[in-house]
Amino acid sequence: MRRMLLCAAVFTCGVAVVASHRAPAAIPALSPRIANYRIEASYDAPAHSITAHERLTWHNVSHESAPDLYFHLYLNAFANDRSSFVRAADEQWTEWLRSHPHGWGYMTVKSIQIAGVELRSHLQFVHPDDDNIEDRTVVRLQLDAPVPAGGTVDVDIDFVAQLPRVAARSGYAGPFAFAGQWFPKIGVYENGAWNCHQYHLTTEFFADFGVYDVMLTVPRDGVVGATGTLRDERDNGNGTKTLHFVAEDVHDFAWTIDPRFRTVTADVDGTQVRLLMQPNHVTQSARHLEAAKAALSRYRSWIGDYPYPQLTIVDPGPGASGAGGMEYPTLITVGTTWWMPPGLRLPEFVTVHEFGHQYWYGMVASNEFEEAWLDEGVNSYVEGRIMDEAFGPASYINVLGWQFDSVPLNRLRYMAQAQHDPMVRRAWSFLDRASYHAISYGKTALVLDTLDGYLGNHTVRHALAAYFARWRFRHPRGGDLLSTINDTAGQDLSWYFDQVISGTGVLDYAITRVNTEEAQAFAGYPVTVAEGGEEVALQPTEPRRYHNEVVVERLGSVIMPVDVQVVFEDGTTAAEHWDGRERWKRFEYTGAQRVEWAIVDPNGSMPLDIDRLNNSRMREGGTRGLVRLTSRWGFWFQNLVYVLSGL
Amino acid sequence: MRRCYLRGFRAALRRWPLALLLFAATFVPGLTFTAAAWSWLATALDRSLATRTLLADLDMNVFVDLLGHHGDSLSMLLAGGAVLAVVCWFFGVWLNAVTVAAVGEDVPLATAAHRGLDLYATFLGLGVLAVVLDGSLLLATVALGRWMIRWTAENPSETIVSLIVGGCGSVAALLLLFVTATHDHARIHSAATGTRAGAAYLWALRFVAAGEPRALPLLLLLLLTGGGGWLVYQTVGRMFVTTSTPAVLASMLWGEVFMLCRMFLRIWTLASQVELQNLSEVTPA
Repeated sequence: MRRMLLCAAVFTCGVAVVASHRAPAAIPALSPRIANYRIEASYDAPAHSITAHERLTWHNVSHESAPDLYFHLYLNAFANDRSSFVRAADEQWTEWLRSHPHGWGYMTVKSIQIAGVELRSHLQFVHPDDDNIEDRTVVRLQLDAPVPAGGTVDVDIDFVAQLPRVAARSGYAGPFAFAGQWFPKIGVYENGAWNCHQYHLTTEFFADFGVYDVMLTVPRDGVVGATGTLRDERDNGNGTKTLHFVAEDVHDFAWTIDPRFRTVTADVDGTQVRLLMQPNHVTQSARHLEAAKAALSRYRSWIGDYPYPQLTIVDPGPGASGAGGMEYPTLITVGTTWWMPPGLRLPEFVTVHEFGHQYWYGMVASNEFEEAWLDEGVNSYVEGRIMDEAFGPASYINVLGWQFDSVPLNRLRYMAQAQHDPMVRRAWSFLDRASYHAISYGKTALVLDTLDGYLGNHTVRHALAAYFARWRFRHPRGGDLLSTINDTAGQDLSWYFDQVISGTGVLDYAITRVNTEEAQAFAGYPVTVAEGGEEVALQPTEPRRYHNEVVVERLGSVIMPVDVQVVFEDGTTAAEHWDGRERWKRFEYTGAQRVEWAIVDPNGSMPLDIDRLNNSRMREGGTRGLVRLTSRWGFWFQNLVYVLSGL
Repeated sequence: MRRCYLRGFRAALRRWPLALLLFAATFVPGLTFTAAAWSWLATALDRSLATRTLLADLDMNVFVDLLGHHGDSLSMLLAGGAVLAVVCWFFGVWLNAVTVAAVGEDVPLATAAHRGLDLYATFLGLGVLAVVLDGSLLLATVALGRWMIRWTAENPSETIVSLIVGGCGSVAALLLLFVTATHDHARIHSAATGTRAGAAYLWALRFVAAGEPRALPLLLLLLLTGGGGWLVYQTVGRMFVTTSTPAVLASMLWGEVFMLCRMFLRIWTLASQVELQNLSEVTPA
């Protein structure tokens, strides 16, 4: 409650301050507008460098005064081989450097002033996340006078950003340039401390909302895409032009330039979608556009409104694939090749995924550094739902008979590194990148899929809509999402969340026994109190009856109620339910029919189950499926032998 | 060239028992691998429903689970397959010698089998030479392609990568065509003259590169014939909807018919090249 009141106060304050700072916004402020930037930048294309002046107006909305300010200088991740980013990349970076030895980039602060007083000597690099004293991606500015609680400070910064050759996210490749994390950006001040993490290989986003008013001077022949809307464009008469972009209620600003861009525009339910495609990818514009439409319309109907008037989709230039598949407010980067087969829906799913980040990161601005599952995982879940609905059962891959929808792909991701890290872990603290991806993307999507299967009726989707409504333009934590799900479901699901979000255990239920034996008539002595009686010989019952036994076991540590379906020879079924708490459960049936097979989770509503092969068991194994596969493999082998024997 | 092509065809027709032998030499290993794969898959799937449902539904979750939970045993299956393939290669050297002897010297199969043993060492040497050359050329082409891609890394065009890949692929294909023709002619020459592997290969290099301009076109024509056969196989094969056991069996049968045709084509190829050497004005060394 206290937090909500604080946000309401900040919201009001933000509106007032911004209104005095610049021309009134066309629409009411949607966010608190804590960090507001006015930037005038000039891009030197041959040198790939940006020279700029930035005025930051920052509001201290905490209850504590701020004795210092923290800034991201994220391009310094590419300054040398000592940054935490490069150290984590390791072999990948070494290989890259062999190809591009002069690709370094950096960011330097030429001047930093408050009220006309130069404070550059007060800057000090800090490394809050690790012990790497050589990392230069976060800088602390010691203030002469603290910014009081509720106060505002204007900071003037002159800086130079040298773009690196694109290795990851930002940089240039030929005439293409992408400027992400290209300006000194203030951290988030909360609870009397700065939340300002270093730039990491796996994570980079957490910032406060605000208004960005950016003047970009670039070569005249460059086609530019940027966060926000273009308000004005003028030709400077010297081979350059200046573009004026304004972005409201966002927490970052990125832009791109390439003279080769071909622009394709479309109106999607009132949103102007602008594709900046490479010339030889123009034929694939329709694929990106179709995916953007699928994502926009479903997000609007499932989750909530997309309030911005535009969306820019950028296709990075040749050699800049590292800049693809990224999200920035109202601007996303995708990627494709001219030969991309229609059955390989990479352009589609990247577009859907990156657009999803407009919600999970863009508007619901959770802390990616500390809880990446909240944006990457939730986004992967919704992406899967959209892809499966929009593109059918082979929604991701439909090539040479291989058909993947979202579930097997996420299971493949998850199973690669299922048990090393919990979902709640700082992004750079995961065992490695594979574990980060397996858990933050794959496992989270499967956890939500499984929860959806448990709750039914698209409850998770409704919960995400409620979560969006509650937390858009704010900084929720994991607990906020979970409490929203509890509220929507009308039940306390902490028993589930505790196991799968905080824990590393796996969910694995299996049918381990399907046994049938013929029921016998009475055999032995019909003993009474007084005498044993005459022995009765063992003989079958007439008509024949069978005693059937089905055993379900919980092989993993995660406990989940499960459905069990038992199918008999004549096609009749028995539906069972088990709370799944004990290690095993036996079901017994006596009757005229033998059990044919049994299956736990017959509807496949628990994709988090680590092994679905053991979910079913037949009384007698089948062979038809084996025939199809092994005959094909044998034929391939025969062909291999044919080729080899020709040598 | 037309005469070689047609005479090779007729010679191959006469050698149909040899085609059966070659077919058996691939069918048996194929069957062996199928049995091993069956055993592995039956164990991995245990008695799950997938043993039945995979016939009609190639559920990717099954493959994800097989990879995730039975990856180690799958590796063993593949390693076993690799060993079997190497054994087949050694056996195939003898079969090649038998084939060349049969079509080159027009002797009965039993005699050709004996000749195959005599020629084994030479053919093994030629085989190793071919493998080393094929591998080296492929590696060199890949290395060249990688170097060119790095060299042009700053070039602002995506097409250049496609051009490099396409160019290197074409060069590799031409080189492989050349090496294959050389290898075939070296085998035929060594069988005909008793020349050892190195000398036969050098002779064949001269024959293909400079001596006989029809050598490469003839092989290309035969390869295109094979390509046509593959197209027919694929076109008909697509008609089988392999979601029922009879359709799977019919598809398997059709596949084996195709393999038998490939064996026939192999004999046809060698027989045609024997004809070419016989017709050629190049004097055997």
